[in-house]
Amino acid sequence: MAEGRYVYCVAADSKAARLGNIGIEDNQVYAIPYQDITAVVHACAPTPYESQDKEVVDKWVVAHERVIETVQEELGAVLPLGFDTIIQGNDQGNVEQKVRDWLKEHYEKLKDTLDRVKGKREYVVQVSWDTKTIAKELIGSDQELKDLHQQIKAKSKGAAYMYRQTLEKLLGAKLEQEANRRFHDFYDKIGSCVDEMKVEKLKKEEQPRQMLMNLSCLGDPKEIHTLGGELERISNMTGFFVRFTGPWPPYSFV
Amino acid sequence: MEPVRDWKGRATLVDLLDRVFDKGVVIHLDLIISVAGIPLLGVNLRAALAGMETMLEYGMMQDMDMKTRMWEAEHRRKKEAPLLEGEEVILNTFGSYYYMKGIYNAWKSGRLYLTNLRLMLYQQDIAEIVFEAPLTNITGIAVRKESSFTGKDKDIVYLYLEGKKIARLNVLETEELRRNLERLVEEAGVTLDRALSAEGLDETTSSFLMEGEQVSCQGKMWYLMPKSGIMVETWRPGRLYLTNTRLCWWNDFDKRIVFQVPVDKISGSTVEIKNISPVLRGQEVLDLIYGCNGSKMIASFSGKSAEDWKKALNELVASQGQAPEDREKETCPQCGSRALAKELLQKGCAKCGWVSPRLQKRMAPVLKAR
Amino acid sequence: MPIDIHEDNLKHGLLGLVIALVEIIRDALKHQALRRMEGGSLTDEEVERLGSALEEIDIAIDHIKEEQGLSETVNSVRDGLDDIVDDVLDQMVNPERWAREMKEEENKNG
Repeated sequence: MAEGRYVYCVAADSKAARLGNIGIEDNQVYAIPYQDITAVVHACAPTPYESQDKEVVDKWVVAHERVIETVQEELGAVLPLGFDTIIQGNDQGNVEQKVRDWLKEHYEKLKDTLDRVKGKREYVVQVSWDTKTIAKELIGSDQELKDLHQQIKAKSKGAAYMYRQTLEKLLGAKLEQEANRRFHDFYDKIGSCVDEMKVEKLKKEEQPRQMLMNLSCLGDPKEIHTLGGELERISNMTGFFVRFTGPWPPYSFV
Repeated sequence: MEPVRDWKGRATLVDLLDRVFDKGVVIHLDLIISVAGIPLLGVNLRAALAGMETMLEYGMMQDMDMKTRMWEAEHRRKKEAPLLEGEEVILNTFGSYYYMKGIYNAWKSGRLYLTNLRLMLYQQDIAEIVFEAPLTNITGIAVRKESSFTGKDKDIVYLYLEGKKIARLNVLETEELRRNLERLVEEAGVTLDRALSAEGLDETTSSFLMEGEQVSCQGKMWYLMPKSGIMVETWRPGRLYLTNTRLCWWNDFDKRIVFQVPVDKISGSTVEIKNISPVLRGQEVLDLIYGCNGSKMIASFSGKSAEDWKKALNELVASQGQAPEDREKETCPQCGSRALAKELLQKGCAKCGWVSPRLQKRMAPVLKAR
Repeated sequence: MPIDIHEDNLKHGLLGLVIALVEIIRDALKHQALRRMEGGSLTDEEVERLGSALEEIDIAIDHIKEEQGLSETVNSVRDGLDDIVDDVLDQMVNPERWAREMKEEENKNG
């Protein structure tokens, strides 16, 4: 008896549709509706999908995403759920009723959110810079740094080392200042091209690359070229690199 | 610039993984929860810093490798605070509780709930009640400003509880908490001691001071810990406290009181210059003479303020109407000759060689470890 | 990210950990030396000696890392330590920041 329901997403629809064997491990995916919203699920055992094998996990995650995108394609707006959200039935069993009750309880909120994300998609924007390139620029343009750099040339070996450390410290501070400045500048420019934005944690990159900003953006795919244009301008700046992926279902905005 | 999406490709899989774990709609229902795994691979400092119990909670002893870790990474579910039926929340704020257990001492943070039944600190991530006190157990509340390592001053709330415990808390809304707590506790019929001032309280004393006990002297002092098992007599660092009820010594390492004597059992004290180790020569040693189960004992402490302590202790003894016993003579139980009490206890009888059972123990060879 | 030390390269991992710690201590020394110099309490000769000594340490550490092929390991250990320290500092007594983060989370989860 399948006492669990793996929930992929919530969509705006009233039919108890059957979407075929497109789920994780080729499970049969179908919908449990409540009025005009519906939860897209597959029946499973009440245990989470876990594996030591990276390939297997990747396969599952891709299947999870595929279901969500299929529904999104058919029905327009979806509220995606995270991987491995499995609702279990209580002692009496009826897990389907539980799903319905949950949809009922949060009906207003779910509907509002579906409206909010309708027709929109999530995009990932990551801006990085080459610290070496930028550092060189700064040393060439900043007076304090220029002076210190000059002083070092005239020093003896040991003293030169010490002064180089001071230079590095100062450079570090200037880089941080510059990073802040750029962040705010890009944040404003990108913000004006999209509907909503979320700041995510920076990812560690290989030296001398350093990530400046990691954004999740919610925007209209038909208008996304404005964002594309802005990102193009940024990536054309010497020492700057942009990573732009999407469209994704709106995971970060639900 | 065009956004990139390659279905089969790895380039964007990492973005998908970022989204699919820890994002998306959250359901507060009976979910099947997978263990939030942070695998133990030889050295895991994070776990050591978080504390033993949390480690076990997270299934630390499982042997997982990086592949599993990648996707189990931050997949933790938040659980609602376990409120009882009819329990009403009066104040819901954030706070930390100073947790002390053995050598693990740390501030544990969480959501602080003041309800009509209790004060509770709850950590959602691991669904654990970090601290809980029924309102009827609260006998007093005092607030003290303390400076923290960050340089900022913060208000520490000292909560006096039934059973003579004191809890240290740091709360976001200190005054709100105090006001509401005082009101609620008194409504529950308990009289709060409003005269508490948290004087002399710190993270050490609050863990062992009894209700109504006040510290009059304190200082860093080494203590000669008696032989035990395979351990010889050793000098250990710690703090000596004289309160209105006892003299006690706090072991810095174990973080607890390992020696104490009620004030009325203190007979006197002397200070001598001794060599307490081949390296530490000419140190001031305070020998405390006290009574225990009818016989006299000596406890030794060492530190710069030994003379001050002797003065304070002798004053204490005098105020209790006794003469300090540094000069008092005792009779040797074996040969009957008279000698200074201290001499008899510490070195034995010069005449017949009698030694007290205690001294015998001290001089006996150390138990060999197996 | 926890520090990555596998059973099959334990010795290598251990050496990496040791070098990472040596580097951190060296960085602390550098920092102190710099402070003294900037504070003006060192003579020119002292600055010269200090600088030469520290430079030699740098070279020695780089040499060891190269010989043993440790650069990757050391970087990963240091990154791991950075993350852990960040985490611990974040979680320490700081209800205000915690409150802020919680608020953000709640708004997200709604």
